[in-house]
Amino acid sequence: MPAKLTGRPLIEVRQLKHTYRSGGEALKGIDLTINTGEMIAVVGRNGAGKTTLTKHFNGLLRPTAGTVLLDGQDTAKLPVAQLARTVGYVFQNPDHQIFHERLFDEIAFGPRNLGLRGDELTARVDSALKAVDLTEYRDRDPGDLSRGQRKRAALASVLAMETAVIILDEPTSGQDYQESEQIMEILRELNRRGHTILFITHDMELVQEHAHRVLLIDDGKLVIDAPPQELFRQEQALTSAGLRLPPTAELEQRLAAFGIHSDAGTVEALATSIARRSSRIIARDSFDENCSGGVAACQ
Amino acid sequence: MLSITIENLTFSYPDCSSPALHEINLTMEAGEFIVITGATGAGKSTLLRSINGVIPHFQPGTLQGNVWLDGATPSGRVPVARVSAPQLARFIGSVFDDPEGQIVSPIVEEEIAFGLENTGVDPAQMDGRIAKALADCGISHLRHRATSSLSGGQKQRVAIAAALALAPKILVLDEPTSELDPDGTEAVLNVLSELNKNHGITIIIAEQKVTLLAPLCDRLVLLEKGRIALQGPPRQVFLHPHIFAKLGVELPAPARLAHALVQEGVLPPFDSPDAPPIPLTVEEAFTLSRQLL
Amino acid sequence: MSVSIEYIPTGSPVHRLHALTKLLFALAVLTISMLLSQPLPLLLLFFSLLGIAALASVSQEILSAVKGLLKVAFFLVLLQMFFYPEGTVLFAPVSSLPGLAVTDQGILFGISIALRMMVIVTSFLLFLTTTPARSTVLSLVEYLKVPYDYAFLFITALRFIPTFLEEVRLIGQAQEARAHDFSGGGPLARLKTIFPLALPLVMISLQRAERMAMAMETRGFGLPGRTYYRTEKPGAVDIMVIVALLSAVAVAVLLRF
Repeated sequence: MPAKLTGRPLIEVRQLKHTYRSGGEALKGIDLTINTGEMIAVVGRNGAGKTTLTKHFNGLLRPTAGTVLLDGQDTAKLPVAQLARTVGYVFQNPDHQIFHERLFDEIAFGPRNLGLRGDELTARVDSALKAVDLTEYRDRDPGDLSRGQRKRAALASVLAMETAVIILDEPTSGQDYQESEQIMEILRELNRRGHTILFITHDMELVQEHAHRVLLIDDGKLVIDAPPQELFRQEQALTSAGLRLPPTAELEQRLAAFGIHSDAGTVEALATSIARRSSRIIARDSFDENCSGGVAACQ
Repeated sequence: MLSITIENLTFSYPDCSSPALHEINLTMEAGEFIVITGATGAGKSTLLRSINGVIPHFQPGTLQGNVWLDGATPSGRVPVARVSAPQLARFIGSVFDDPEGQIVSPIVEEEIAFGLENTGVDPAQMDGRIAKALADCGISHLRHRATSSLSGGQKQRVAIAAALALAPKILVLDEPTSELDPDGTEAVLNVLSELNKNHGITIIIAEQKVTLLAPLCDRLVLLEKGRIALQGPPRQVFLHPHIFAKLGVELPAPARLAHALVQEGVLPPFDSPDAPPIPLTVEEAFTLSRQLL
Repeated sequence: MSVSIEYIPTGSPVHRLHALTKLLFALAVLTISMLLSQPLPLLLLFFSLLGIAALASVSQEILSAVKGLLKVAFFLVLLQMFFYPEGTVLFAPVSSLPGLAVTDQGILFGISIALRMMVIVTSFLLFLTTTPARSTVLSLVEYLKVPYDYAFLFITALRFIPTFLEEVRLIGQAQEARAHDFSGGGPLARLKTIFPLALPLVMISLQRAERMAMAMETRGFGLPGRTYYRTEKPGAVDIMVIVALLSAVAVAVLLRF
């Protein structure tokens, strides 16, 4: 279980600006409140400021102007090592952190830094390994693991710190469909157990399926802060921020004009709704004029 | 005209008990756009590497069978294993997944020139060939930029242009969009589609993003543990949702909708003679759905 | 103060000059500035450098560097002003210390020194911002007979400096986020805190080197009969510029002695 916190908003971002030393203004005034137990997707094109924003939550970056309060405390005044007790951060590339020869020690690195030793340390590591389904590799060299497994190992090394908040930078990039689903399932389980989850992603299907709330960042500004279904209704804003509607949402919207509604966000629900409104089963002839190219390709 | 014929190809990495590729037989015709997909570890990269010569020239392991390059020499076909990797560059261009790991030069035009210099191209021809490769990839404006200042999508298009400058007939790409955002991915896939359609270049690409590639490709090859589980034009391959489920590969939403409509009984089963073609795009799925209403 | 010493590709006429021409240019400007002692000619020289910067489309970078240099220049003027003994005394801040008096010649001398410093630094910045390191290195291969393999290694290393720095930053952050403290106690402890940074860095660099070697081979690296894009032969314009530079130096010498 994550550590107990006060009743205040978990993360409060006020007029946050960040200017890199090279002169680029990466964040241009962001206001935002995050409460305990949320599952939030952070989306936007590369370079929009997603990573810059989330790195302020654990003090890896400090505001140029404005404030970030974590559980009521100003993050600018606290060292990263202390913020790390509350906010865990999983980087995109697991090879940026893995350096032990035994997986157990890699996972134990964070908790040890927090001062844990002995049975409690072992218990935490084993439970983190179990959560990401890597128990059988406990004493193996992380270098022998596949990239997908290393990605889960990096997640486990943050899980073992049992932070209230877990931030993940593109947790499913470079993963296949099953690996992605597995990682998202782990995140959902953590969320059910009370962890606040923020994940950066480009995959709108994952957003549709797994997020309760989406932050759309474009050019250093928070453009939309809404549940996925609401975000997908603003296609204009989405495409101008370099993103695409997931195919299911696009179908839903185009079919809405014909009285088809599905709030479940799945093609199966769409099909059921279509079937309810459809009176006939049509034969091949009626498709030929519209899909003739397709028929040819099939033969 | 350059085609590839893979015959009984089996490959094992050193210290691995089971082969990464097992008895692969596959023909790739000139001008085809082929997508190789499958779960992690299914053998996608290994298959591509045995086509572009990284196997056996660079990657050690046990190789059986042959990858034939048809039409590379006037005398007929030669096995890839007998042409050195640098020699192969004139026939087969390669692009890898990591944009950082394949760019060697500080400036874009020098990056394009790198392959030309290596293959001994007359310096007087280089400017023209660099300009053409950049133009074909839609990145002429990047010619004098520092490679370190480019976005991921731009870097990958530079990598494609660098391969293209050697005038290969075939491009082999290993998950070139895995690190890119939607804009970058779209830009790269558009370039590949253009090169295939307008320049007749054979595209062989390993990718997870089947939904985006299905409308662009001629053929989809699904690998499972080193074997070909399914292959054919996307509309045929998508007739087998259970195989996609078994392999852990996502069936694109338009095709899933069509199968769900069959389940609901409003469309005839796809194996019946009066079934409509499976939709590949949202547009096609929309048209199909609308006709049911 | 951030001074850009990186190559800025703009494709200007200045960029198209041979690397050795531009190196010679920087050296000629250095020589001339040493021969000039009056502020006015130095100021003219400085403005002509800004003109060349405009011609090379690197004004923005050069001007931002000049802004930084102005602070140093101001300090130089102050220093010379108070410690230059000759000339008419304008005022003496501390009457008991006549050596600290400010003279008219002292001010002029201080301005000259400051201008000279700015001229020299600006001319070398012009060289660096308009000449790819690769061209300089290849010129050295051609004219000083450095072997190509070493030169190639050097160029590739240059290309990887930004990537490498980015990796260092990311790995450092990833370990800090796991509550690692890099600031450790004594020298031995400090050494130990470096492992979480150094080990992933080595692993990643090795991986990248292997992938890079593979990517290079698939682009024909290692074939015999390599040719060179832009073999960097000095052209007619280069010859003209070099002649002009040498005459300018000669005139400066004649005027001085």
